[in-house]
Amino acid sequence: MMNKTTIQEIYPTMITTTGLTKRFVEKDAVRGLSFTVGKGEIVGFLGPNGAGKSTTVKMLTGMILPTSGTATVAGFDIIREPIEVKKRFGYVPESGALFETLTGGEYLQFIADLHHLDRDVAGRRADEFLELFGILAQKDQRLQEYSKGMKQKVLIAAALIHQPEVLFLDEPLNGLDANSALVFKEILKRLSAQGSTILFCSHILDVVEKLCPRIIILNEGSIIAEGTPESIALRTGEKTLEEAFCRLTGVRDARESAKEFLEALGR
Amino acid sequence: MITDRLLTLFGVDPIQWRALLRTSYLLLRRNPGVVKGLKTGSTSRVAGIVVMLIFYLILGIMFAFVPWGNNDPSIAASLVLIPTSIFLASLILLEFGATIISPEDFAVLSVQPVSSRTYFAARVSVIIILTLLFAAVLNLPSAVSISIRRGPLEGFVWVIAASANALATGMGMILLYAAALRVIPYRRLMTLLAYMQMSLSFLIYGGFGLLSSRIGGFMSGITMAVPWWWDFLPPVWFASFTALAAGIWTPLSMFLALCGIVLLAVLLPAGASKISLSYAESVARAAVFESAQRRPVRLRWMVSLLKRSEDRAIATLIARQFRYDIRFKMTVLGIVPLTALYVYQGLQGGGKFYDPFQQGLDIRGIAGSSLLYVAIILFPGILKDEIGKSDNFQAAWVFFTTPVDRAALVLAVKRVLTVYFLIPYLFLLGFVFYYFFRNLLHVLMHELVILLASQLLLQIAFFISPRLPFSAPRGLGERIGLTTLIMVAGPLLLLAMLAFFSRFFYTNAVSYLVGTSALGILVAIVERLLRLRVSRKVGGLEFAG
Repeated sequence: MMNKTTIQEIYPTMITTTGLTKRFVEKDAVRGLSFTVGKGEIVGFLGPNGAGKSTTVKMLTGMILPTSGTATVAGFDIIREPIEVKKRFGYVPESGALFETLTGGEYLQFIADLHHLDRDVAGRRADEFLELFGILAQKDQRLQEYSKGMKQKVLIAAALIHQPEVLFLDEPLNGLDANSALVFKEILKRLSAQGSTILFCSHILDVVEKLCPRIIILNEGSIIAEGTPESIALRTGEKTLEEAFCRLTGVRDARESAKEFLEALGR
Repeated sequence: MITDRLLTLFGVDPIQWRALLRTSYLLLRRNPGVVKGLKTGSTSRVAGIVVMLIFYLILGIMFAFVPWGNNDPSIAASLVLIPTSIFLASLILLEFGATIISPEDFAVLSVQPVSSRTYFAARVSVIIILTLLFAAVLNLPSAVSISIRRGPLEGFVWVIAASANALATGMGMILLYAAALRVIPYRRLMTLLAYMQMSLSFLIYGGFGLLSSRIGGFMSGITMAVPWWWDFLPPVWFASFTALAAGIWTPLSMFLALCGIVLLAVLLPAGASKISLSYAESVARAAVFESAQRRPVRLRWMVSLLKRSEDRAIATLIARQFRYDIRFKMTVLGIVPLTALYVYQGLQGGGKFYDPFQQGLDIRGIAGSSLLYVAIILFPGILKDEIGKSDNFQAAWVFFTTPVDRAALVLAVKRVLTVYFLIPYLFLLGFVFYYFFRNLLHVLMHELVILLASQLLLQIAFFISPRLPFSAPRGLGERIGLTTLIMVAGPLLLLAMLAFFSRFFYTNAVSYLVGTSALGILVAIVERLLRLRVSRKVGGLEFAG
């Protein structure tokens, strides 16, 4: 098991949150969140729906402001130095907003311009990404004509085009076909090996387990477990991460729940 | 480059500024406009902005006759620049509002390293370019007319006055939006913005109504006596530039021209501090909070008025869209002022409302009061069209994947409009009629005819363009054509219909019974035909998402 001190010794910290809180009108979406992510780490951010994963990422990316607490990304304060922070991360949102009347190529060029990338370099990188995901032929089609998976590929390419130090990925595999998902997971491993820091939010436990050496589990806005998949399973007395997750987040036995559901439907 | 240095001097990133500007241009150019064909699956579209430019160019050519026929350059210029300002303001308000307040901007740009200043500079640049573009098509024909009539110097000054007027209008509108955003908590912002748009529309349409009565006299060669508030209007200040160019150096024209210069000098830098990405953020938050945190109002009583399940579903959908889809709400509320203006002018024009059963054919009376009836087709007509469109049009997949009779859904929209808009309006109209007629039976008989006539008009509207509710994306400039058609053709059609009824059916009880029955039968036949047409049209529709 890897404790916090060991992680910080190995990896210089790239993401730090201290008492990060987001209060909406009637409830706390995120409550006093404190964690760190080191350089080159891939950290899985797990939790049931409404646990506060996306809210945390939205705070870290500057989409919403924290009610209290602080956070730094790549050494810059998210509130005081938002532009410096934004220069250093790439973000794949859960349901991505795109300017859909632009073509895939135009959108990537637009994002590259916002990051001051040389147009030739940006064009080359855009082509490489689009080819990698098998949509280079659709480069000049408008995004509104793309399928959900194709849009997701463009969002991933847009997040990577400026070679960020930190990646925030919120359900990045949504809509991706199996081949592209495999390629993307491989890219993430290589980026991590090259020193990129990745915060990976997902509901798919298998993927997180395979991809992320460290996992943070959130429930109702607070961290309820942190460590390697094995250590979390061990601590809860369960055999797998899936079972540990269900126990930690208060989900009853899945088979029993399914049986009750079908009985309620009269089957 | 000089531009780059200048932008950098003001803290604007020139590369990002250009990227944002280029993207705005592409988004605007590709915004779908008027659908050309009605054939199923037709994708032939004209860029909305092109349609709008052509429409305003025609208006501009009409304006060019004002300075041509008159010798008072200041008043002639005012009579062109005031409506220009009104048109530009309403354009920003109704068509390009999203250019100032776009929640989508925040969703895409908030995670990019774009500073507020750069974002602002790009937004303002877009508004200025659009305003100048539309001012050009509205005012350049007048400049040509002036140049030919009075020489190139006056034509050139006209261009300067028109540009200054357009800039002031654009910046003024930006400041108005920004001021509202500054003082209002963001949760209430979007709702309030919708009502602000409605209030401004009142001002715009009311002002235009007032002005149109004066232009008529001026064009007939009558010297126009300007009202006391005339010189307080900013377009008049810019118009006085033309008086100076014509050599009319009176203290008043010099003072007014100075006011114009000062106004621009104040507005331009004031606007510079108002729009930022944080401003877009508050808009985006407002959009999120609107949908997430407002307590839904119970609709049971309202829906219970309808029998069919499709009607109830559509009534619920329309009511909820009105409450939570801010753009739909803004559109609906934007129709209210125009409708109210027509009602007001109808009441004014009719003088003492005539009782058609007592006075027989009175074409002047009908013409005067016909505007009151226009509201009957104006509001449901535009609303019918708006209900077909939504930013959430992709949610219409549900109409294609559930075992629903799609034709019934389209016709449900018609019934909902009848129950919730037409009948209440006719009810109100009944009070107006009773006040003038003093005969309840005549009021009821007249109302029955109007109800049937309005049903027929609504059927025609659905016949021409049957659409599933909230199933198509919004396009730029679509409303211009429809509103113009309704405003021009509506009064003529109604006038003819009412004159026909007054002449043939209101003469005695038998004629009335025969006429009303015939109209009723016609409505029933058209309803049948409509059902066939709608079934055929929507049967071949494909999901647009």
